[in-house]
Amino acid sequence: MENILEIRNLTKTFQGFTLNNISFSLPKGFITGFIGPNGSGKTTTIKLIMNLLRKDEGEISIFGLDHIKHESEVKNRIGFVYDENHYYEELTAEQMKRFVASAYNNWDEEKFTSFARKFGLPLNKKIKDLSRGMKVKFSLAIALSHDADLLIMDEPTSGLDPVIRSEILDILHDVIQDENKGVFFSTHITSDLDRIADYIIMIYKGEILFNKTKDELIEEHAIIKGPLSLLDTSLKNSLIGIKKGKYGFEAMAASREAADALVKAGATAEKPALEDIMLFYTRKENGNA
Amino acid sequence: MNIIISNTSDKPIYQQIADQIKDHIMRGALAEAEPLPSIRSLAKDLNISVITTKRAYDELEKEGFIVTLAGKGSYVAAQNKELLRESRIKIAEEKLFEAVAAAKAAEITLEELEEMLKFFYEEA
Amino acid sequence: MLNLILKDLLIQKKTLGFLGLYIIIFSIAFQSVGSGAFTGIVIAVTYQLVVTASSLEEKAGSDIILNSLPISRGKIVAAKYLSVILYGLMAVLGYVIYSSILSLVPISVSVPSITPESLAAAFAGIMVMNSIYYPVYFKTGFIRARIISFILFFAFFFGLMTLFEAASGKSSNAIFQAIAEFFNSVDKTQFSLMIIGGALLFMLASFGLSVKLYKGREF
Repeated sequence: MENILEIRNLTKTFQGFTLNNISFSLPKGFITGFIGPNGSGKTTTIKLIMNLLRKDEGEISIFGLDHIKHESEVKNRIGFVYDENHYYEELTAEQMKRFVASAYNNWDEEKFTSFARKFGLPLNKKIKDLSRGMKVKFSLAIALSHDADLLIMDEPTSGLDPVIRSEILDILHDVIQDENKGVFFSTHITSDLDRIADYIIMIYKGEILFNKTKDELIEEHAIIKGPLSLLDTSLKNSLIGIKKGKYGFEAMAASREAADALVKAGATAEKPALEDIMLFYTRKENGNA
Repeated sequence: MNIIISNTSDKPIYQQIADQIKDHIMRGALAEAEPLPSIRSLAKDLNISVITTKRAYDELEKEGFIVTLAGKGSYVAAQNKELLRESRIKIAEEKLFEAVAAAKAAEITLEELEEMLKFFYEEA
Repeated sequence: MLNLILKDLLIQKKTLGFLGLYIIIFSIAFQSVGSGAFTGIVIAVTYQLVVTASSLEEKAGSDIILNSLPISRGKIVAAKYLSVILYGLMAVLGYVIYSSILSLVPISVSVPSITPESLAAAFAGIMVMNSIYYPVYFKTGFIRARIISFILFFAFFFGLMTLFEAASGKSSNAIFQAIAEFFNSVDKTQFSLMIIGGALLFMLASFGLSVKLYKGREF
């Protein structure tokens, strides 16, 4: 079993939004970034995986097991961190932890204690008195303390300062020191993934645009800047998200060859960051409204 | 062992890692049979992705600089002495060429340059 | 399961503190009703605890967490039904403690004693009441179910107390007289047991329905 998560032909329709027949898989031992602008279907996909939403069609298997038939077994092996706090505000962190711990078969109290110490979690404080950063760290400590094989995170870093974000990324690196574990990390703040992600899956308007290793993605894409006259040639066809300015254009080339040809014709090429790639693919100029 | 990664370099990160490890091996800073860090711990320490370090190691293995034993990790491969000497000579030649170019630019004569070379050779 | 019930008590610790106060206020306000006052108190206390727990779940959005943990939806539902019985028992205990304290101090407040009929009516009341409420709650969430719970509370609270008043035979109202006659003609213990049995069956059916509805729910 090399894939920790497999999604095939998953479809879910709401009023005004359709997650349209998406398929992808997550190899174990890696961090997979799930990117896309807000409203693209990231949270919907995660909620379908967790069976918080009911799929219309398709298959989801986690650790090779159907996620509904083996729901309890699967959930015992998943750690989750969501973007909003859903813990009971009136409970102290310690009380909340005790409740969550009782739900898992393989709760590791020692591990939790060590995370709590490492993060400086004030366990006797009520959840409502914890800062946003502390709440995320609390969720993370819980997610990491039952020997989960798959960590699912939905926008865990939104609203956190850079110091805490970097701490969290370090911890994800720790998780995949074990090559049997995997991390699925959804975010619209792609700078978190620039360094640590192994694979990048981009979703947009309910469809998967690409699913590649981050290195491939960065290597084959280039930000192209050049004179407007270039847009009158056939080279235009190899460009994505063209934005015309007064003094030239800016666009993205999706292959090395295209970038080389454009450079030869007088354009400049720059290495993109993930954010650039996401932006160019979702630009209105592509005919996206 | 130092490995310095530049994000602004045009060289892909895996290439930067492979080149630097190669350098360490050729200079003898990494001895034969010495274990290398695991791809996962190296990825963590360099704060980069596992796939990137894996690719660097694959590259090094392909070129015969390291060997990877399943379940045991990667080690510096037994280097072909002749090959190693050749590559070292090549490094010396490259550096000398740079020195000569710098000397010419500064209008240093061959005699003066030889004098310097002799001094450094005996001092080092 | 026990942890789910315990969690419901923990999150409403503050409300539990007011439990004693409730019992005192209600028993003073309704002391003229006789043993029906006890039934009313149990219904009021249970209603308050069920509603508080529901609203705190809603406030936290806890369905997301509970259903992400390896806890089956059936257990989540079952815990809510069992906690109704627990709240009822807590109300009884509170009432017993309160009335024993009052019997020790020389104040002229009469505390209606607990009769088998008032006990049966109280438990049948909370079981039926919440068996109507929970399917709605599990189908739609608390925001939409709260109106139903409020109407149910008033209907059961005043309905049952009126029934006790009628059964006492003190009123000259023709319908009340007829009710009093009916209660006098039946074996009270047997009738109480039947009522409780019926309520239990009703609760069981409601539980099945709630599980089905909650399983179809999306968050």
